[in-house]
Formats: sequence, C-alpha cells, structure tokens
Amino acid sequence: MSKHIYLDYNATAPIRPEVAEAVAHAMKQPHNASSVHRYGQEGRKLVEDARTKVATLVNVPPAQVIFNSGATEGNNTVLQHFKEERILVSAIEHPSVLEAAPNAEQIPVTKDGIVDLSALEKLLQAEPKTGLVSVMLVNNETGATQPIRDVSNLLKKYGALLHCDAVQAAGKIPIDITELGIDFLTLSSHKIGGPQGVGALMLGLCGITPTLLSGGGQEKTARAGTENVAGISGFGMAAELAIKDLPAYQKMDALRDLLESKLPKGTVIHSSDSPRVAGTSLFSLPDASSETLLMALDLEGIAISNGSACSSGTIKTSHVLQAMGASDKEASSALRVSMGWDTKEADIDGFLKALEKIMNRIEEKKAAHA
Amino acid sequence: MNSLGIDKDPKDTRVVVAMSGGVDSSVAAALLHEQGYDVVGVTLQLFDYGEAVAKSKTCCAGQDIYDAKRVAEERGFPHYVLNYESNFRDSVIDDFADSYLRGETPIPCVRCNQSVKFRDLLEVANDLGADCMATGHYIQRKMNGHGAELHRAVDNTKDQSYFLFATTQEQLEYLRFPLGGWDKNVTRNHAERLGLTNADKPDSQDICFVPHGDYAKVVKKLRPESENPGDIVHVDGRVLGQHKGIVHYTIGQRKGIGIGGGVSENNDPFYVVAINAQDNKVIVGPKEALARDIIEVTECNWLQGDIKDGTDIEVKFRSVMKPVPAKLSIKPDSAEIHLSEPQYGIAPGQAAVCYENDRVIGGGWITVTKNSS
Repeated sequence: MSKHIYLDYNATAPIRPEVAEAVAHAMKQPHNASSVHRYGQEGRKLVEDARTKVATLVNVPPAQVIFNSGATEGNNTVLQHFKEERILVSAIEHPSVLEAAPNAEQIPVTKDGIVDLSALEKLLQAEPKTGLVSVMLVNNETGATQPIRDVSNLLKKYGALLHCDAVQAAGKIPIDITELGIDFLTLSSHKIGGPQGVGALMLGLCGITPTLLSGGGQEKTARAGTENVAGISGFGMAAELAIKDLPAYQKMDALRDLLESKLPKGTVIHSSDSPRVAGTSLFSLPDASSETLLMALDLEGIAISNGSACSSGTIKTSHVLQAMGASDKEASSALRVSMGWDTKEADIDGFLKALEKIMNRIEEKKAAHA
Repeated sequence: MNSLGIDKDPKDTRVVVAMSGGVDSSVAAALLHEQGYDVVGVTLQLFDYGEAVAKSKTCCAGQDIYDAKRVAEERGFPHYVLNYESNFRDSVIDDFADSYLRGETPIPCVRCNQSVKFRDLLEVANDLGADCMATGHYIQRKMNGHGAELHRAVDNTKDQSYFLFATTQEQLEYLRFPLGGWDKNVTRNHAERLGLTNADKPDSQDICFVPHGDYAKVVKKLRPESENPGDIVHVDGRVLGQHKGIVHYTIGQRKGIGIGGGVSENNDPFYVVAINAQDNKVIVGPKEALARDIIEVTECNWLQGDIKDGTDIEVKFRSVMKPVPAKLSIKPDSAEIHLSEPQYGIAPGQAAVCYENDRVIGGGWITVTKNSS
C-alpha cells in the first residue's frame, strides 16, 4: 500500500488537528467540572464553552443541550422514554434507533429513499394515538435528506412528538431545531471531525427531558456521570469548525458528481433523484460483490464502505436498500463513498483508478474461465 | 521459485490464507507472513453465532473469528471476515439435514470444503489478485511433471486427506498446505515461538454449527419429521420395538438402539444394519449382517487422469480408519469399489476415499453397499 485514501467519513471523520489540540489541552489538568476548586472551574468553563458552540450548530439555546456518549446513547435515551407508548420509526433509521424500539411500527420509504409522508399520515390516523415518531434528518447510507419540516407539520396535527437523529446532517446542511419542529435531536461528535465517545441530545420546546442514566446529577440531572471534559471540549471545537466550513462542504457535490460521472456503465446511483447531502454517494456496480470490492480496495489503500458494516467486520445486506425496494443483486453490490473536510479531487481520482484496476482484473479472470 | 512454488519474490506474492481461528491456520498465516509473503487473512462467518446462543438475529461473531483477527492484528497483516451464512446454509446445513432424512450419515466438513471453502472462497482469493490460497489442513501437495498431487499428511494422526478428497485438480493447482509435512507438535512449537494468542487453544472436535455435538437437536430443529418414531425391525422381519426418529441411528451403531438389552437370544449384541427412510424403519441384526464388500459411490472426484478398470487401491470409508485394499472400477458418473475383505459398518452418506500408497486419487459419496456372497 503506497498511498492511503480515506472516503468513509460517514462511518467516522478524521479528527481535525485543531480538535486533537483542544482535547490534548483539556486533558492536561484534572478537570472534574463538578469540583469546587480552580481545576473544576476550568473544566466547567471548557464544558460550557463547548455547549455554546454545539448549540449554535442546531440553533438551540445552550441550556437545551445535554452532553452524552454519542448518538447511540441519545437515541436510546429518547426511544426508551417512550417505550410504553406507540412509536413510529422510519424503515431506514440507524440500528441504534431500530434496536432501541424493537416494537415500533415502521414508516416505509419511497424507492428514492425518502420517508413516505402519506403512509406516515395513515399510521398516525390509526389507533392508538402515537406518542413519538423518529425520522432521521439525513440517511447515513444514501445521504438523502428527509422532509423533516413536513413530518413535524403532520405530527402537530396528530399530537405526536418528533425525534430526529441528525448525526449525518451536522456540518452538511444548516439545522434549525425550532424551524424544523424537532422535539428531540441527537448528535455524535465523531461524524464532524470530533472525538469518538461524545455526543449530545438537544431538546426542543415540548418540556420533556428523557433520562437514561441516574447518579451524580450531572447535566442538570439529565445525564449522570462525570463529564468527559476533554471529549466535550473537542466536540465544541469540531462544531465551531463545522459551522465555519459548511459552505465548503456544500461545494463537494462537484466532487461527487465527478465521481458519479466516471463510474462504470450500468452503475445504479441510489437516491440520485432525491435531495442529498453533497459528499455522500451510494451506488451499485453491475455484476460485482461489494464484499470482495471492499477487501480489494482496502488492499489498494482505499478505505470506503458498503454502508452497513457490522461490529464484527462482516458485511450485512443493507436494510436501507431493502426498504427502498432495491434488488438483492443491487444490495450485494453496493459501495458508499463519503467525503468530508479533508477530501480532495486526488482522492476521488485515486479511488476511480483503483476500482478500475480491480474490475479489470475480475473481468480478465472471468474471460479466461469463459 | 519461492517456498510456495511461485516464480516471484515472497513480498510480491499475494497469498490468501483461510483462517478458522484455530491454531493450525493461524500458524500457517503467521509463518507465511514471517517469510515475507503478502499475506491476506480471511475468515468465514458461516452461521449466526448470536442466533445459536441468544436465539435472536445478531451481527456478532464467534470467538473463532475474534481469535483469527487478533492473530492478524498482532502479526500485522490484513484480515477480513466474509459473511457466508447463506452459502453455508444452502450448501452445507440443508444438505446435512436432508442427508439424515434419507437415512444417511453425512459429513458436512467435506461438503463445506468442497463448496464454501474451495469454490466460493477460492474465487474471492482470485478476485483479490492472490497468487495462491493456503489453508492449515494437514495434507501434502506434491508436484509431479504434470501438476499437483494430493498426498496424506506426514502425521498420520492429523491427516485430513479424507475430508479433502473432493478437491478438484484445478483447485489443487491454486492451493497450498504449509503444515502437511509436520506433526502437530511442530505447529504448536511455532505457535508458541510466534506468541500467537491462540497457541494453547484445543483442537476443535465438533461440527462447527452443532453445539456440544448434539447433531440430532440441530436436525430436529431444521426437519422436525426426522424425529417421527417408527419400528425397529430385525433382519428376519420381527418388530423388536420402537425407535425415536431415524436421525438418532447410524449404520454400525451398537449402543443406545433403544430395545431392552439390545441383544439377541444368544446374548449377541444387535447392530443397526440398515435405515429404511421410506418406511421410517431401523433394521437391526447381528454383526455378520453388516458385512459388505461392494461400495457404490457417486458425485466422484478423480485427481488422477486415467484410472484403469480394476486398479488396485486402498480405500477409507470413515475418517478414522486404516485404509483397506480394494479394486476400483470407474463408470461415467459413478464408481464401484470391490473390497478384498468384507468390512463392517459402511454408512451411505459418508465418503469413500481412494489412495494409491500415500497419494489421494479421489473418491465419491457412498450411496449403496452390497455383499457379493
């Protein structure tokens, strides 16, 4: 492997140098933000500065930001709070939503990967009354942006609350929690170049504070456990940079379009007719196995994904593509390229060259056997 | 030529190593990596480990996959896990269950080598641009003037040639078995020298998808009809009792037949001599009734090109047995093996593997056994 190309930002984004610095700085002192002494006070300042920055990312008052360990915790916190009530979730949610509410009813999506609003309305009309609806802002596999404002308008009519997993939207599109009508919004720091193991639950105006962990009363008793001061500090820095670089990210659609224009003939690009974030492309190559291609690309120094890796490293068929009605063949030949703050045109070129080399090798072998 | 018989520098020779997570394939991979080869470790996820334990669909890997990954991480070569659950279910587990329903005694490990490992995985290795694929099997690959030959392992107690008879000539050309010339102690010593995390791991004994060796439970779950009770009938026609499903019986079995005492009037033990799946009957009789000297096999694989009718061979019809002398006569899609002496307990569904001295010449799946006398 000579060069390394990283195009898997939707799995985790490379940490920003400024973030690494902020984290290292915060780690130098024994900061327990609850302590009375000066180290505690310094720690408190780091946490509150970060809260203001993270709040700005979704335009919410800082007091409505609860830091936690990431979106999996955030999603579990919200969904488990409503476990006695009827819950609807979109069929393309992240496993941390689907598995946290195993009895939830699923809202289907269109073939373009957009939540089906008329199906949602039918579900809302049915008895019993729905307590919570969970629809993500941007899908992690396709990059398709969901019509959250339309969803929240519908929910108002039926008196249901809205949870929105905005992990893949932060830093990619502007987010305004009030304008979108979101009651609970969840974020993860590592998807925007911050450290892993930090996230936030942001509250809208419904007045409910879902709580999962009890203990020392941190985060105004909403999330017990000593604050991860260094991680939160890094999250704050990452949020600040994400806001600053939002226009630059949104120009990445040029790179994505370049990529998609050079893929082999017969390639199916998923959600290409939907509003999509700029730097995500999910496509199915004709007559290919994503499992084999992911390995072969990695051996060439290219890190991408098929969109739905398991914790064990095995590859599962994407539930998102299944929900979109894609064929098994399409689902088993899907690759996802996702870009971010450090992606350059040379990365896309390098990916395309490696892909061509591998596809040619497989073709030659097939021809030799035919 | 490098040690894998390829005309390239080891560092330019890509070798995919099929790693089970056990010590043998781990040593094979680690040694080739130590010799400077471009090693790519691959482990197959063959069934849902979480489902077996927790009864729910999960995406977790078993300990074996973690062990293989740890070895690769510590030695510093890439490693991937391939999800072969559906291939494995279609090619191995379903066949395993159906074989019992036919009254046979299957060997899923051969089916797995034949389909999942040496057909599907080998194709992936090819797609990854590998020059060859290595495994940790105890078997030797030797070159003659024309190509590769398959030979028994040096360590007779570890020899896995019986399980690899279905390897085709084309597959054999691409495969390498670095451990075939060793006994297990050499492998263990290398594992310790290399500091592999799984150096002390015991050898696996069970069929990988059958927890605690309780195969009947697995078959019952897949094919409930395998537990339909029926008659236990003596070869002379007398009904001696009831059996609890043919899945519990194997040709040659003596213990646990389930008829009081399990002995004849002369105090001789009864053996299962046949399983009549169609009528759901288990046929028992004295040991003599088990004697067979003709074995018919199908789905044959022959590694040696021109085998003359009536060639003298040695044959194994169970993995753990000494080969016995026989004559082989090959037909278009099948073969007949004439044993020099009658043998006991030959079960349809098992493989008959033919040897010429130490060389595996091929074999087939046993369908019918007869006694010429």
